[in-house]
Amino acid sequence: MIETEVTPEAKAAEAASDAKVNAATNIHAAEGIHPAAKPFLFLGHIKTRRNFIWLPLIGMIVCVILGIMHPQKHPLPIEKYIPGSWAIWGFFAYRSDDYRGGAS
Amino acid sequence: MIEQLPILAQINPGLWVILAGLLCTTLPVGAARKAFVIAAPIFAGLLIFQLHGMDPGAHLAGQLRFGPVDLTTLRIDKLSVVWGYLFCLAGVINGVYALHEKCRMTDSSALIYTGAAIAGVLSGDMITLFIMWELTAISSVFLIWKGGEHAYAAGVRYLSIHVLSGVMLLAGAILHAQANGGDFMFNNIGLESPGGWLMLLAMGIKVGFPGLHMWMQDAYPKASITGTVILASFTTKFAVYALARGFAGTEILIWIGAIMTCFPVFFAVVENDLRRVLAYSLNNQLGFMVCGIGIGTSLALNGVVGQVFVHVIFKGLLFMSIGAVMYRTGTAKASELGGLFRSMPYTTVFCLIGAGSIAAMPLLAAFVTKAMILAAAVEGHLYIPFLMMLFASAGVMEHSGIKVPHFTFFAHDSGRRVKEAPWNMLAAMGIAGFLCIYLAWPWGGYQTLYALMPYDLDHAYKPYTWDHVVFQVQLLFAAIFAFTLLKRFKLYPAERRAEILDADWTYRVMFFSIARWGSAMRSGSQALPNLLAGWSSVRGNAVGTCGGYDRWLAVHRSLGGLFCPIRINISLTRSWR
Repeated sequence: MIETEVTPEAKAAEAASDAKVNAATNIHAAEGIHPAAKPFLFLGHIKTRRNFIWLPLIGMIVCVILGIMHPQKHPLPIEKYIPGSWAIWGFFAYRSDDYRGGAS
Repeated sequence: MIEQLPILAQINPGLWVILAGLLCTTLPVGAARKAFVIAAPIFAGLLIFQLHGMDPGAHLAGQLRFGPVDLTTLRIDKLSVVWGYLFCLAGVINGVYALHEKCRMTDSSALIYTGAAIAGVLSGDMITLFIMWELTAISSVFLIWKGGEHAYAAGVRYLSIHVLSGVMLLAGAILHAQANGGDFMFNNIGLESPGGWLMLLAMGIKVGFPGLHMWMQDAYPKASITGTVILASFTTKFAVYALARGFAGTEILIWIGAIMTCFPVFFAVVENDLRRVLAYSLNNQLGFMVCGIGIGTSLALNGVVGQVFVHVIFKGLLFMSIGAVMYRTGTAKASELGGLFRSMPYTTVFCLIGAGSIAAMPLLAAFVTKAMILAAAVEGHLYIPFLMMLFASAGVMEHSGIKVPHFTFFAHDSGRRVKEAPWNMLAAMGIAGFLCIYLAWPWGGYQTLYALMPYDLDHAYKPYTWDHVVFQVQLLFAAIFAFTLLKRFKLYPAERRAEILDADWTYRVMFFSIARWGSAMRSGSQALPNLLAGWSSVRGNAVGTCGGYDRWLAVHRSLGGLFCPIRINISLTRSWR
C-alpha cells in the first residue's frame, strides 16, 4: 500500500467538501441543529418545559369562563347545569388507573 | 378522453392502476416505475371525474354475465365517487412519499393494492367486490413482508385473517343473493338474512371491530416505512365504504362503533412503539365512522364520508412523519426518541398539524367532520354513545395529539442529531398538511368537502359556531392539562417495552398452544405412550421430597418427555407466532 502525506491543500479541499456537504444537508456543522429550528430552541429549555403546564391550565380556565358566558345551544340534559362540562370530560377521560396490573 | 375512446367508460378505472402495477413488476428502470406510481392514480382520478361528470346520478357499466350471475363491474355514484377520488389522491401522496425507495416489489404491490381498493369501491356487484377485497389483502401483504424478517409471521397472520374475511364475504354474498332471487348487486344488505350477518362479520374483520381488530396493531408497525403509510390508507377505509353501502342505519353498529372509539385509548397510552400507537388511534377513529354509519341519518353519513376523507389524509400524515423519523433514526420507539425538533423541524410541524387534525382542533381537519357525527348522535338522543365518543375524542388527543409528537420531537433530548427528512417525504407531508388545513378552513375550505358529500345538505352543519369552538377547545385544553399534570408529578404510566397482546392473545398464544399440542399428539404413533409416560413421571417427581426449585426442575424435565413430539412440529407451526 502506498501512503501519501496529507498536504495542507488537501486538508483545505476536504474541509471545503465537508462544508459543501453540510450546506447541502442543511445541518449546522457544529451542533447538528437545523437552522430552521434555532429560533425555537427555547422549547427544549427546562424552564419552558416546567412552565408549559400553565398554558393549558389558563386556556382551560378561560374557555370554561367563556362557556359559562355563552352556553351551548343544545346541551345534553346532564350537561345543562355543569359549568365547564366538556373540560371535566376532557380532564377525566385520561386517568392514571393502573390497568396494566402493576407491570411496567 | 372518453369521447375518443368510449371503451374507457366500460372499464373500472382501478383496473388501469392494477395494470400499471403488473407492468411495474417487469420494469427494471426505477424512474419509469416511479412515473407509473404517480401517473396511474392521477389517470384513474381523471377517468372517475369524467365518468361522474357524464352521469352524475349513477354511472353503471362493465356489465358481464357469468352463467347465472350478472356482474356490474363499474358503478360511479355519489357515494363511491368520494372514495374513488380519495384513493386516487392517497395513491399520489403515497407515491411521492415513496419516491426515494428503489424497490420493485414496493412499487408494484403498492400500485396493485391501490388499484384493487379503487376498483373495489367502484364495483357494482358483490362478486367484483369480493375479488377486489381479496386482491387488496394479497397485494398488500408484500408491503408488510418488506418490513424485514421480523414481519414475516405478522404478514402470514394478516394474510390468513384477510383471506378468511374474503371467504366470509363471498359466502355471505351467495347466501344473500340466494335470498334475493339471485341478485348480486351490492346495495343495502341489512341483517335479515344469515348472509347479511356473514358479510357484516367479514367487513368487521377488515374495519377492526372490537376483538377482530388485532391484525392492525400486529401488522402495521412491522411493515416497511412506506408500507405502513400505504397500508393505513386503503384497507380499513374500503371496509368503511362497504359498511356505508350495505349497513347504513344498522343499530348494532352504533354500539360497536362507540366501543371501538374507547378501548384503543387504553392500549395506546402504554404502548412504546409509536407506529403501534398510531395503529390503535386508527382503530379509534374507525369507531367514529362505524358509529356514524350505525346512526344512519344524512348528517351522520355525511359526517362519515367527510371523516373518511380527512382521516386518510391526517392519519397518513402522522404515519409519514413517524416514518420519516424512523427513516433517519432507525427506530419508532418512544423510549429511544425525543428532542428531534432540533434537527427535523419541518417534520415536527407536519406531525403537529396531523396531531391537531386527529384531535379535531379548530381550523384543522377533523374539527368539522367529527363534530357532524357527534351532533348526529345528540340529534338522535343517543347520549351514551355521544359521551363515549367525547371520551374517545379526549383520549385521542392524549395519545395521538400529544403523546406522539411529545415523545418524538420534544420530551427529553435523546441527543440524536439527524438530517431532516428527504425532500420527497417533506413534499408528501406538505401536501397532506396543506389539505388538513384547507379542508377545515372556514372561508371556502370545508365547503369543498361539503360539495363531495353524497346526502342531503339542506340543513348543512355549521361547524364554526361560538359554542362548538369554545367547548371543543375546553375538551382539548383539559386533556393537555391532564397530560402535563401527570408528567409533572411523574404519574404518567411508563411505556411497555414488550409487544402488548390484547385480543390476539387468543390465537397467538392460546389457539397456537392448543394447535401445537394437538398436532403433536396426533402426529406420532408415540403420542399416547409419551403422554402416559410423561404424566406418570410428573406425578412421580411432584410427590417427591426435593425442595422448591429442584422440584420444579424435575417436573420441567419430565414435561420435556411429554412434549417431545412437539419439537418435531414446531418448524411447521413457527410461522404463525
